Amino acid sequence: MPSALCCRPTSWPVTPSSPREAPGETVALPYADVRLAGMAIATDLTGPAPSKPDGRYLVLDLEVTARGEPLRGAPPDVRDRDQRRYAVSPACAGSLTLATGIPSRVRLCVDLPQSAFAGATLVLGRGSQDIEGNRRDAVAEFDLGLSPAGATTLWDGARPLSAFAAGAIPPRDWLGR
Amino acid sequence: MTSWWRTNLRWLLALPVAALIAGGLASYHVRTMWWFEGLHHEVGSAPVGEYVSLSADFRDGEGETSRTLRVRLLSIDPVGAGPDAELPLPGTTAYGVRLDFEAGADQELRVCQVALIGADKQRYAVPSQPYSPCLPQGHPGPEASIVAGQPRGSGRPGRGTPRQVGRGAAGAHRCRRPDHCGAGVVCLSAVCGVAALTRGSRATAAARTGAMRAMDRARVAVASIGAMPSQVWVRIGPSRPRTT
Repeated sequence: MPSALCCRPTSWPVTPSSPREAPGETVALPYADVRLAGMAIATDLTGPAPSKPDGRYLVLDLEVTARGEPLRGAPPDVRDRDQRRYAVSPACAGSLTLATGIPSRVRLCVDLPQSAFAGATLVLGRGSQDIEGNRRDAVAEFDLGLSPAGATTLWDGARPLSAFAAGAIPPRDWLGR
Repeated sequence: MTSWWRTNLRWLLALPVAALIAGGLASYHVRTMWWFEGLHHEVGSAPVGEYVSLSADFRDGEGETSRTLRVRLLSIDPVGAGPDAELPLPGTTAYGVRLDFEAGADQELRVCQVALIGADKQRYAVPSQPYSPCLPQGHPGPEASIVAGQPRGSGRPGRGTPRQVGRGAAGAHRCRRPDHCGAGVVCLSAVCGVAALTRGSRATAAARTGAMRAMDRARVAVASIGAMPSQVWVRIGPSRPRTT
């Protein structure tokens, strides 16, 4: 049974103009340190392979450092308040594959309908698609802290963001600091 | 014996059996998610410069078989920017690992992984290593038999085909130094005759500078994964920190 390690960010930005004002907490998993650095909603993703969602993209910027050995992460997913699972879009990072000890910036983009934002949580852990998801060990679960009003505010203020998967150097519109 | 014991004895005896069954049912993913994901069976070790042998039985598309190779560590050195070094990034140092492999011409060695174990006990490896960092580019040797009916050593004609280093064709890259490699043995690194040190005999691992400062204490793990039993590996490096 997976152990859920939850952290609730102290105060998430509810306006897209101030997405950098509320860095999240760091979750110390046995195999990685994970920090949800920032969050926003995007109307579309720009870059060499632009992408438009059916709903809107929930964009989550993470800082992840693998500990002990290289990390193969299971594909993360976002769950709405009814525990429906939404897969991450391949337009950003599809899963985590990280070298040991080197902090990496990871951008996750999830195509969500408007009704799924409020009460959404992010779940990520170790594993891979080859082994049918996570390894049933510790997972990080982030309560995104989105109330219905906050989700609406973010939805209305959505803007384009750049498509980015993972790397040591973040994109210009990195949401964390 | 009291009436309580008479009533409950058989259930008490059944408890360990039930616990074993429950544990067995709950461990169905241990093989996939733990055993194949780590290094669990160290089969040899050697100091720097000395060969260590690795032999592993495994099952491929044709049935039970095995593979044997020898490997030694030549050097671990920081490397600068270049095609072999995705790094260094700030706060990191990239290290090039020069390994010298020897194996028979009929040995299939395509799935191989090299990692550094730092003085901090962390295992450093480039997650997306080339398909086989243990083989020189262009000369990968026989292909694996992955599915039933696929013969061992078959491959597409062209460059780097098994005809060059496969069964019965060991001479193509026989080593120039006979003291290293005998008849029918193909060496896979620059030391034994391939014209230049190729990426195939070199792996680059990146690590945080501080963690890897004591590189003379680092060890190299050569792990076999995929078609090979992942848990079989050898460790190369000094057994104790150098004092000079």
